[in-house]
Amino acid sequence: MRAYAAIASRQFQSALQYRGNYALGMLSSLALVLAMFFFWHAGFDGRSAIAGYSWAQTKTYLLIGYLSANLVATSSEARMSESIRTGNVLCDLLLPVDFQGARLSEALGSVAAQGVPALLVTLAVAVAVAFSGVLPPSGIGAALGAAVALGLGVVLKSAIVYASALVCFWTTNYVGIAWSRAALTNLLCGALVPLAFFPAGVAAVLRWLPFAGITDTPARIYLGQLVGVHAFLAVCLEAAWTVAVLFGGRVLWRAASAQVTIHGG
Amino acid sequence: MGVDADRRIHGPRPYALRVLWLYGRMLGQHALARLSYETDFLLTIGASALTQVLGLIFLGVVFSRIPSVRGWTFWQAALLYGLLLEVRGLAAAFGEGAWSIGGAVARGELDRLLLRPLPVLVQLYGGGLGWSAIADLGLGAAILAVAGPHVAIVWSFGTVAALCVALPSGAMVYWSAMLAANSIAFWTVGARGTVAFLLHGVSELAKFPLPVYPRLLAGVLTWCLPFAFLSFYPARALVAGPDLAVWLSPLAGLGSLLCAWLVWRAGLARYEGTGS
Repeated sequence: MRAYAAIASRQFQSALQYRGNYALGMLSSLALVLAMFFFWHAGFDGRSAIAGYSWAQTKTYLLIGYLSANLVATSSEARMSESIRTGNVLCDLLLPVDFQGARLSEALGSVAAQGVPALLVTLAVAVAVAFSGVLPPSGIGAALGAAVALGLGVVLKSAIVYASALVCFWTTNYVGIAWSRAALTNLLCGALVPLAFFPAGVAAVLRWLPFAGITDTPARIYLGQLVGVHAFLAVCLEAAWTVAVLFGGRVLWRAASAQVTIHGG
Repeated sequence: MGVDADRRIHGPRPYALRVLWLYGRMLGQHALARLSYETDFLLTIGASALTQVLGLIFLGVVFSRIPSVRGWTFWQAALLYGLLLEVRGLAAAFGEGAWSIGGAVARGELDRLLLRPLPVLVQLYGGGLGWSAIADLGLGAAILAVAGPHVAIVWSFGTVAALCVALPSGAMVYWSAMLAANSIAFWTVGARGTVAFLLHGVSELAKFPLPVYPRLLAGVLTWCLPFAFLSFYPARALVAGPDLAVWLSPLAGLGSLLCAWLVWRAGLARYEGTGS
């Protein structure tokens, strides 16, 4: 356990060292959220509700989506791809620590460094637009439940990012992998469009998929749309998916690490 | 012997032609190398196709709830999206080299390139093609083919001419933005590619019609970071007929190119190698 804590703290320090990068990364996802914000703002022109969501609810949902997207360090694809390409992955393989555990510790270390500013920015944005009506949590229980779901979502998304980063064992094009993974998770978790806006049948299916836990579940608990037993069950589903994706990552890793060929020299 | 052998080894005589010839040879070599890694190649194209299909699904979901946004219908927005894929794909296909600037600076590899009798940019851009563009260009064409009949396009000589002018100009804007953004690596070695990712993120704003944005942002996207020329102005020319903006797009393209060139030159002048 101490080894993993050390890895996390090392990544924390590294993230602080390159804080400029992280700030820019956050800005670039802010661009997309801004696009969505203005798009929906235009869409709500002359409408009071879309798919049962008011403009205030949509705004709040998107803000939570932005927060959940930025709580997770997505640079692990870049790091893994680089170390696989250069053969440095060998050093990781030789360490007497679990590969997945080490990568997840790195991810959580980055969350600590990157997530805190993201939280502050989100709060600042929330305060700034508060007068134009971002909603407060629907109650204390909702606030706590949303925080739990969001925290679990961080682990879940880190596990998803890890699994997709393993594809780097087969390709050098990590940018393409990272972008399509981001496109997939962002669309299916609700970070771009509330899941409720999908056709009803599709939305129901999406809520059973692992991605919903990242944004949709915390956002709906926050807004008071998921309460009591339903909220509890949604968080349980999220937890189950987290375990499943973590396990899937291990299986995939076994196949991936067989790909490694290190050229001597 | 003599002139013939000389041509075969060194390429054609006039310098500009020789540079082009060498550029072609480098790309050819790169293609051979790249195509020998089949899985990598297919994954690259597949990943890009998936990204764009998801973008289209997103548009579909959005417009299933709202029939039109600021006067733009789903099919018109799809047309805009298709144009964006074509323009960005064109720029990305021949713009892959920009992404290697950061690494070349950080590792001091530019030393080697600077010693060769060929412009450094030609060497950088000759080092790679953006293969993922195949997916973008193909998918973009498919979207245009499907969306086209649903949109009352004003076909005329003017429209065709406007497209011929606007699409290469838009590609120039994106290509230049990536060159300029990646050249930032000369100043901040640590922030490799981050600014370029940021600018790419901003270019995502071009997925929606410009009137969606507040006037200030629309102004920025026209005058400062002219990404509106990637998709919006060409799309509006198709939907509503060519207007002044689309005829002015070469200015945006050439202006961006000039700015990028200046940033690149200023960066290169600062380059000191990595020592030792």
